[in-house]
Amino acid sequence: MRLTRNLVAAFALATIATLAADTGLTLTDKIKAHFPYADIIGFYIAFGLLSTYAIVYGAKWLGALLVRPDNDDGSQEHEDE
Amino acid sequence: MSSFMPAFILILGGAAALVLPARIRPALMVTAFGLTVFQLVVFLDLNTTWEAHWLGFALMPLRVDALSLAFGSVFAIIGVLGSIYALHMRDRGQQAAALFFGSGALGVVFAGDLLTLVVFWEVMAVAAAYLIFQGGRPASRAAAMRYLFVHIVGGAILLAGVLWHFADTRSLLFEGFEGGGAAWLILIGFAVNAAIPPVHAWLADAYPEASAAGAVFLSAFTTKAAVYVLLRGFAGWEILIILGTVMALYGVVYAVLENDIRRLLAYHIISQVGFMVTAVGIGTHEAIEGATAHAFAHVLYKGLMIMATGAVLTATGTTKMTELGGLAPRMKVVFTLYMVGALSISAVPLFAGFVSKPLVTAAAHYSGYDIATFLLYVATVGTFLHTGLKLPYFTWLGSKRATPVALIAKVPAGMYAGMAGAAALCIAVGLFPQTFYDFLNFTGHYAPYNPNEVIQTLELLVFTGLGFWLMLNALEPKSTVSLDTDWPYRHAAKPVRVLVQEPLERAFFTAERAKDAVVAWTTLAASSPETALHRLPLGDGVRRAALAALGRPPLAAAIGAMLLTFGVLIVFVVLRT
Repeated sequence: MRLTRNLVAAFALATIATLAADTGLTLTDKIKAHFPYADIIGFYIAFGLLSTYAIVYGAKWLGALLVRPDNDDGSQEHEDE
Repeated sequence: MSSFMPAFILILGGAAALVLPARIRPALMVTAFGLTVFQLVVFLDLNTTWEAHWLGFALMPLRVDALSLAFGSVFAIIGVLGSIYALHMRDRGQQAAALFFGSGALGVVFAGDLLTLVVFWEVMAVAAAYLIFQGGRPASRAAAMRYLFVHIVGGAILLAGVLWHFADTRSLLFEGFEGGGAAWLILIGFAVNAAIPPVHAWLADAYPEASAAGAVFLSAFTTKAAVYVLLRGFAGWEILIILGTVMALYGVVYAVLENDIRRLLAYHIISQVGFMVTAVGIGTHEAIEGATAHAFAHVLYKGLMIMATGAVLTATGTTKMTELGGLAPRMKVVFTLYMVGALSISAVPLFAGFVSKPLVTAAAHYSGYDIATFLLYVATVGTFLHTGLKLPYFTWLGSKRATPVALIAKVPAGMYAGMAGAAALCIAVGLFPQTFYDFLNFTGHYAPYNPNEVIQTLELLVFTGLGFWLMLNALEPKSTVSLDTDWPYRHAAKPVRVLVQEPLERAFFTAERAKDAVVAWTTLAASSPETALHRLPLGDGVRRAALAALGRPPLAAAIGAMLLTFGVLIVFVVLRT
């Protein structure tokens, strides 16, 4: 648990540092974004969060169609094979 | 030493592994791959070729240039690290298969003609299938047979394309393809090994069933050799941009559904190879160098991650996240080394992926492929989400299990050494990008460590971490398996058996019985003609005539038979004219 707490703290610090740096770069017009509209403050924040959301919930939706219970024999074989 | 094919050392090593005793074989593996590294890095000169003629074909079994040398070098390096990782292994078959597999991969990347390429392509398929077959898990053998089936079909399509290409051009030299039916067949053959959807499912099916050491070689050779041949033959084919971005996303989406850490990493191979395939499709000089750098770095960090999950399998006997968790205090070194690989694949600054992956995304951007650039960034988020956060969290950190998983075996020292070597290279590549680019003989000028790139990447990854934290419950692994495009051929077994196999077997069985009956009757006729005639289903009149003929003098029978034969011949000749 201590390790997990330390990692969360490191993430929090990194969050603040990158936000500050992003703001600085954007205000000084030094952002050279690789796709349109990426040169605004907070673009990558939204991108990271929304992409995570889209991947997780997109996969969950897909998973409703594609997952089957594991037969738990250690083989990962499909149960009806 | 420079004048022969690099694959020869490994072929000799594989042959020696088949006969040498167990105590020598681990050192043999390290030595064979080590000598190959030595030959490639020290002796083999750029622009060396070796031409030969065989059965009227002009062949080029050896072609050394910057591209082939980059791929060949990393194959030999991961061979050394994998052999160190496998020092504890005593399985003669797996050791020989790993060496032959490596020889196949090197043979492919140094092949200057398509015939040599096809031969080594098949060597890879058979050796890889054997590595999976010997995986020691309950499903290993079935997975190996499916792997072999898919790759034999892919190899046959490739061979058909090569023959068609030869018929069209009268040349077997392996150069860029312009288009046409032959090129498309060859592309499909390569796509099978590159695991391009929909012909990708063999990868996540087979790799997790290999042994801990076998999976290291598998993760390095097959798909990256395919990336090499795509770079060589299909650079600039725009369909590969679409297929590559689909691959990059496909892998990360399927990784959400995975409970098995080795299958999760297998899906991420598909995703990372997607970056490379996209770069092949873009086809500019920068994109090709980006794909090469990313393939090189990927072999190192993916090898490291596969090694670490293999260590987890060795220590706990399981690779399912629902059974793991909380391992970090008891496997600190493995966890730390795994994280070096995870940070590398996620393109965190100071690690290998950061100096390779941005070359691909930048190439996509500067070539005007904004949608592809956007989707590659989404795949970057997914990569960190699964390999940098989900897998380590549910394997080494958090766990809701009341009883932590038991450690049933000690991780051998060789495994630690192999992982440490791979981790050192991942960090070295990340710290010294220019040395890395010089080693790969790049001519472009890249500066990944600019404030813009560093901050954007960090921001993206940090907020992916926040997203992970917010969606932790949704990412909780479940004891499930996911269906993929291997479903049709897994389930085709029964219809194929009823509609094809059984009728064919019946036909062959009937033909064999008929042949046995003819042989038995002929044998009987030679020893006792009268008995044989009695056994034939003849009318009484015919049988009596035949028996009477048997009673005549042999000379008359012979003359009669001769006249009859002549008569038949005359009729035949008259009818023909």
